[in-house]
Formats: sequence, structure tokens, C-alpha cells
Amino acid sequence: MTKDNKPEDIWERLDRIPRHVFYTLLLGLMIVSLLVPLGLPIKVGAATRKFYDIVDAVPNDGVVVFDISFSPGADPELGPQFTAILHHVFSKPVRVLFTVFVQDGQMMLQIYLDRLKPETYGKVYGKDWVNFGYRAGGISAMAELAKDMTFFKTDYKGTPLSELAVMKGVKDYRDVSLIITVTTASGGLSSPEDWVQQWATPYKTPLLVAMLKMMIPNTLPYFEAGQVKAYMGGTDQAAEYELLVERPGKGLAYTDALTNVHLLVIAFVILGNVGYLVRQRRKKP
Amino acid sequence: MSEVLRKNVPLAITFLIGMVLFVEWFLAVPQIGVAGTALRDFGVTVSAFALGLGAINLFALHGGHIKARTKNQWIYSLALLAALLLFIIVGVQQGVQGSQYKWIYNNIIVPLSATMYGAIGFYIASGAYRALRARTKEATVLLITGVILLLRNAPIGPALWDGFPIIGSWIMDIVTTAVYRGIMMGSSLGILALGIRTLIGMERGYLGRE
Repeated sequence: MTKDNKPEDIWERLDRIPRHVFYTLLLGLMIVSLLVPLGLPIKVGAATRKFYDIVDAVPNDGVVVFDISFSPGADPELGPQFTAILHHVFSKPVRVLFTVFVQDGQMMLQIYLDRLKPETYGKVYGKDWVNFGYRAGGISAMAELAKDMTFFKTDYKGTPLSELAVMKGVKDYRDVSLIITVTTASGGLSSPEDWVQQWATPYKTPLLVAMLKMMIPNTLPYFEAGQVKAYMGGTDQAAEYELLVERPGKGLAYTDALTNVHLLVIAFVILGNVGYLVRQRRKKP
Repeated sequence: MSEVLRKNVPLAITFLIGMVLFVEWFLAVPQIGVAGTALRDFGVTVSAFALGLGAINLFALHGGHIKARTKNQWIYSLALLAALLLFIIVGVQQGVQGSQYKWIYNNIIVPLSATMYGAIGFYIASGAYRALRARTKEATVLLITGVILLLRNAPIGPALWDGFPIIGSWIMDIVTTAVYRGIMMGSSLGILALGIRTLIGMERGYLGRE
């Protein structure tokens, strides 16, 4: 650095790119990528394919417990995943039971149901799907639900579950074909670990987890042990799922931005290292 | 309050409840099963009460700040309580399906929360630029691993070269999982030890200050 706090040469500039320059470029690139999509190629990965295949293999009239445990903060990342999976599930002749164990989940579920409109898939509330609504109790409620699927007594509107056709023959975990959780929840509320502990391990109910990208390392041990059958994380996998269900959405729209931002970060990391290494070499006697 | 009521009774209740749930998990005794169900049911009810208690706590804490005009705080406390009251009034009046309630949620809460979360992305990107430097041998390994995983996670990575998902998956499935498994086993053993200590009355933190 010079006395007036300016970089001495180009190498120092590369080594110490100011935050505001980095942020501006990042923001600019994101905006341009979203406004002018390039349609960069993507490949459907094995993890997404496995998730899709398991959902697809649910037998006709099978029961899917679909847990929504994310808040608006995670919406940009989980919303596209949730939409694509929801589309897939509603396209199949299966029964869907929505559970919510975090406060915001009920509103997030409602937002997506309003957008997707189950009736356009020929799905009738009470006959093909039900929303249990938000239930406090987290892991305790989840455990009890496995033993008694009518544990909540009523749906979110207050209608007794015994009056709903969708609940016919659904008594306990043995009547559930699959659990899908779209979650950011921490332990005790409705985290992937909670579902592993309360359902997947004791009752061997197949469990699929859709989550934030950063949650994947935490969930991988359960996947490797077979307690989580498949997982999804991030908008890139949402985009892959959208390709599989042939329903382009926000996941694919975000793909270019995601790619470009990743490439920008890599470019900056390389430039930073070039600057750093040249400066280090010069310092050596 | 006597020592018995303050300490011994809660310890006895904890032990009894813990043992009922413990036995229920391992032995199929119908009577214990009924007791376990009742206890979990009770737990759900208590959790619902906890939400109300949280709201009361917010009013007590932030009401105090407003009353005392705490510097650089009271105005935020006022905004928080005003928003909380607005939500309570609209929610009680219309229910969560009400149009105004939905409007507030969809147009204020959702974008604000997403913005807060999205802003983290800038810090992470900037952090990656500053942290991923080949300063030492270990840092060089971190740098190479980081770049490979960035390319594995970028949608274009697998399209550029098939090797990125293979190497990236190996790092995630073998190296990362092994480390996480160790961390999880360690923390699980800790939880187990804490559970046993709580059951037998050696862990008394939940009783409050001595």
C-alpha cells in the first residue's frame, strides 16, 4: 500500500479487490443473467433422478405425507424445489397429507397451493388431499402422528379428519407410502434428523428430503445409511427436477444466474491467488 | 418454597416421565404406551402455550425498552410491537386465510425475509474470495477442493466436464460424510450422556439457579 492507502501495483489490486467492486459486479451479473437468460446447458444429476424415481414409484392411491417446514427466508431456494415436487405429486393418483410443524410453514404452503391450484390437477380437497395445518409440538407431534394418523383430530379449517374421504383407511405409519419433507427446520421442530428418528428408522417409512444446499453435508450420513432415500438441495436441483417433470419454473430461470455467479467467484478466487502469489514471490530475497 | 418442592419434586417428575418414555420405546407394554401417548399429547399442548408465553415475553421486554426510552433501541421495540399487534389483530379478526392477513404476509414478510437471507450470499462470495488463498499447503488443498465443489454445484459444471460431479461427489460422499458422521456420533454420545445425567438428577440446569 502507498501512503495514501492506494494499492502499489496491479498485483496488489488483484489481491485486495475492494468489497464494493465485488458486490457491484455480483449484483450486476445476477440482474443481467435474470433479465437476459443465456440458456446454459444443465444435466440431470443422479441425486435428482433418484428423488424423482422414488416419487414416481408411489403406488396408485398411496399416501404421501408432505411436510412443509420452511420460512420465507428460504423461499428463493426451497420454493422452486417445492413447486416442482408438488407438481409431480399432484400429477399422480396418490393421496397427499400436508403437515406443518413450523409457524411459517402454513403460510408458505398456502402461498404455493394458491399458485399451483390443486383443482387444475383434478384434485379435490378432502378427497385427494388434506392440510393438517400448523401444529405445535414438533418432534412429539411427529412421533404421535406415526402411531395415529388422526392424532390432529381436525384439518386446518377445523373439519374432523374422520369426515374426510382422504383419511379413509389411513390409521398409522403402515398406511403411509412416502414422506417428503421440504425443510430448513432445526432439530426438534421438523428437521431431516427428526423424521429419521421418528419415522424412517423405527418404521422404515421411505423418507425424501428437500432442503437448502448448505444442509446437504448434515444429511448425507443419513442418506449413506439408507435412512434418507434421496435428497435435493438448492435451485440447481430444482431446475433438474423441473426438467424431469417438464415444467420449467424459477429453478431453470435461476440457473444462468447461479452458473454465472459461481464462475465469477471462481474467477475472483483465481485472480486473488495470482495477485497473492506474485506478491509473495517478489517479497522473497 | 421448600427444598423438596423446589428441587426434589421436579427431579422426581423428570425421572418418572423419562422412564415411561424410555420403557415405552423398548418394551411393548400397552399401559406404558397409553401413558407415553398422553405425555406426548401433553408436550404438544405445552408447546402451543410456549408460543403465547413467547409473545408475552416480547411485550414485557420491548415494552420495558419503550417505557424507559432506551437509547438506540426503543424505536425498534416500538416497531416490533406495532407489527406484532397488527398481525394479532388482523389474524384474530380474519384468520390466517384472511385476504389482508395474506397480503401483509406475502408483501412484507416474504420479501423482507428473502432479502435478509439473500444478502448472506454476498458475504459468502466475498468470504470465498478472501479465504481461498494458497497461503499454506493446507490452504491450497482447501482452495482446490473449494473450486472443484463450486464447479460441481454450478449447473454448468457437469456440462463442462463429467469429472466435476464425480470428484465433487467423492469429496461430499466420502470425505465430508465421514467427518460429519464423526461429529454426529460425538454429539449423539453427548446428548445420551446429558439425558442419563438429567434422568438420574445429576444435571440440574433446567431447574434454574441454585
